[in-house]
Amino acid sequence: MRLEVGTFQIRAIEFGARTGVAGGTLVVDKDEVRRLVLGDSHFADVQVHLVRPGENVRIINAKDAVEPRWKVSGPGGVFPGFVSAPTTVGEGRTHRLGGVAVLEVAEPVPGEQTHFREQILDMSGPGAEFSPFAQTLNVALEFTPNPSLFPSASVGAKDVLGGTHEAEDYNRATTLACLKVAAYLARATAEQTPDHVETFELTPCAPVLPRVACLYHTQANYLYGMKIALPFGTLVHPNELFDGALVGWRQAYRSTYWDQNNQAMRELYQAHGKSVNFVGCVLFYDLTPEREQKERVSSAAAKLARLLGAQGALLLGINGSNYAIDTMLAIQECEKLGIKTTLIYLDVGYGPDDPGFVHAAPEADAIVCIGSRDRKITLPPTAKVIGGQRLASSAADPRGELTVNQRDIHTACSTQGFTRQTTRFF
Amino acid sequence: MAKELEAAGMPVAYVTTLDGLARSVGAPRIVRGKAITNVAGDPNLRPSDEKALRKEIVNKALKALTTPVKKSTAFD
Amino acid sequence: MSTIRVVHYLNQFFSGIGAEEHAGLGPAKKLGVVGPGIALQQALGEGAQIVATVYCGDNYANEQANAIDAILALVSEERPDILIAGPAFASGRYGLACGELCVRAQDRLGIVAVTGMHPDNPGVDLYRTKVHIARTRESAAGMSDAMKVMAQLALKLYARVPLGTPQEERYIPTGRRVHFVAEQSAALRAVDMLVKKMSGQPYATEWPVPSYSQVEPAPPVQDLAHAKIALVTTGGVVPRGNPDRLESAYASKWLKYPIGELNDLKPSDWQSIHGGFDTTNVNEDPNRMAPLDALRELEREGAFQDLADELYTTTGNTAAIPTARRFAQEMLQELRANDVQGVILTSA
Repeated sequence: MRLEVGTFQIRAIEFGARTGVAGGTLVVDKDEVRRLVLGDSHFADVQVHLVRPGENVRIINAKDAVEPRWKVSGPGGVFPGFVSAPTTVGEGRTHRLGGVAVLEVAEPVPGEQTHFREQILDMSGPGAEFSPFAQTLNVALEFTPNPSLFPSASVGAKDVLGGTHEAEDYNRATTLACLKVAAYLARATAEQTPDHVETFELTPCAPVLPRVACLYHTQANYLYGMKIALPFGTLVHPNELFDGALVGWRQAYRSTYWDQNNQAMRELYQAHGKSVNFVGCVLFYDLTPEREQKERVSSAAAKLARLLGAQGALLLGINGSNYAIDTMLAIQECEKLGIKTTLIYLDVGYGPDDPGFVHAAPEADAIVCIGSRDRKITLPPTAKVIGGQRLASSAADPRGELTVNQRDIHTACSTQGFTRQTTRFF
Repeated sequence: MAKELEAAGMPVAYVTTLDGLARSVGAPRIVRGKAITNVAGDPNLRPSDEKALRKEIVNKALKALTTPVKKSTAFD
Repeated sequence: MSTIRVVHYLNQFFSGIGAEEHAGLGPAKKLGVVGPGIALQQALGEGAQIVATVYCGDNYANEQANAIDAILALVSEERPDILIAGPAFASGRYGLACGELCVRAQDRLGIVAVTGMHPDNPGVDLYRTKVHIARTRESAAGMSDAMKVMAQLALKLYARVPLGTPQEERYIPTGRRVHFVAEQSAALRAVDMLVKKMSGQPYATEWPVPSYSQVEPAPPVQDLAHAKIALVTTGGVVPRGNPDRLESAYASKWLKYPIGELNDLKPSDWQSIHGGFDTTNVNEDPNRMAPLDALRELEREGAFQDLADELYTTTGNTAAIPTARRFAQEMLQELRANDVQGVILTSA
């Protein structure tokens, strides 16, 4: 599978009569964007904000972030299962608008799961250092739901982690809207020549190079448009992620943008043919408290790595109450098969007595730490708030000074590999 | 807690789903439970079957108490 | 540049007084080095001098009120810049005394205090977050090495030189976290680390998994048919309404509730308030966490003699190790007083 990604590097965004890219500037036709979104009756309104790095703006209730991409040639289209047919992608040529993100901004709706819902994005100040989207030119879509969808303000959700069916359905709609807008913006460049083109292909390489797989412990995202557990794991080519096959925001941390630009896979691509033979990616997850199912999931994930012939596996792990066990079991299963593992992981310790692991296997002896979930960060007052009147988890005034945890800052705790934040333990 | 009691001479059968964690922490006598949300039971079984499962788990725990162990041991 | 003044603390054994029979010895002091202090002085080098050695029996230090304060007073008399206690290796009472003494020396005298223990020493869990503990071997066979590590730690701390990682400097992790921005992305660091690991080159994890001390398991229950068993749970099982307000996480206490008259735990009367997992299944049937019904059945069948009249309960959700140990110690007293010979402990 060979994918060429052509970048249009964007340095400025502005509203204008016609969507297009010229001279490094993205012009956004706000009315067209609104028409595109409001064609879906889930929404009563959508506000389109252009938000730039350095501005004194705080975005609250930020959810997914999507990079504008459009496939100009090759089978299928971007965001398969949402914007395009759900057929396999990852080949041909895809255009991207570098330096731009479409942000999904939506207050929690009744029945929505609110665990780890707080996601604050400061475009300047100390908070900006923690979120990569403080450095992108953002087209923030702020959604207002159709009130008839949620007649009652308070709804008890049986599934604490998933939320009600209505909330799930609405969340899918906001996800779809962002993907549509992201595709629409990039589509404007279809006939143009990109600034530069990068080629992604897992070419044959010297047999002496160690074979490495990426084992990606995902979390209830959409794969080719389907929200589905992956208890037996599945194989994907990294190019599929670059074309938007894996999307959706779930319980904080990850964003679609950083799967379109997945740094772990990009670094493996960089090393491919030099120090490693990158053989592919295993996605795996199930949400289960059952011991047997955890054994099943972790064993299957390791088996897929083995079938790829992997001698090493780079794990993108989830250090959350249930998932942490599965991540560690997968490591143990790999190591038992002689597959050497490293892990990108988040510290979730509450204090010095807490080592920060929900569960730890001695085989996890090569960990890269992306920082501490409960590190306290003070955000100064801000001039402007986008995204609602209230924070998701506190009564504090969103405009004022806020002391938050690292996990409350948008995508600050993602293990997709892009971050340089880290913690060391003394 | 299991370790502290054991160190003081009180045998403890530790019934838990997180047996891997229990083993790496070093609890001496580990009995593997069914699930995090129902360590000694299973809501998917018929009540009579569930009671039988629970009795089996408790029996394993009793067996663990009467078995000498040298290091972290799981009782299946 | 004046010489750094060091006081060395030892127990009755290492100070040469005697073994177990002298563990009740009260605090005393000698000028200069005593016993293994010679190795410590060598490790410290020329810039620091052990001006005095304070020593005390381990039993005295642990059992007498004000013992640590009395030891501290003797230390303080010497106006030291540094206190080095032990090393205590795996000796529990010695470790506890060293730990407590070092903490107070830091807090009250404002001096550098360092000790040394084997990771299995009970003093480790209690003191590692408060005091730098050099990681030693289990026994005095590791003495000279331990002295080197303790001396290096102490001198660095005194000179306010930032310490390296616990792995580099060979001390027990204190849990202190330092946050910063790395030069390279997590992804690049991870790929580099993986390449090294696969090729057999040395690599260093950024975050060591905890290594837990091993304990000597208790001997088994000899005669189960005539034994009394107790049911303990960390699953947060409490009477409906949680009358004594057991916390759903970070439990500050453990509780006990009478079950002597009960054959099972009815959902109308009991619940779990544990905040770390979905308690729906347990609330439908609390026996799923505290299997009283099965225990009663087995009791009736004669598998064991007697079930203790009380259910012991707490929440194990994020309980810090020192807290969990305290709970165990307190419960142990009750269990022994009630002739309990074995415990079934359930958790998530």
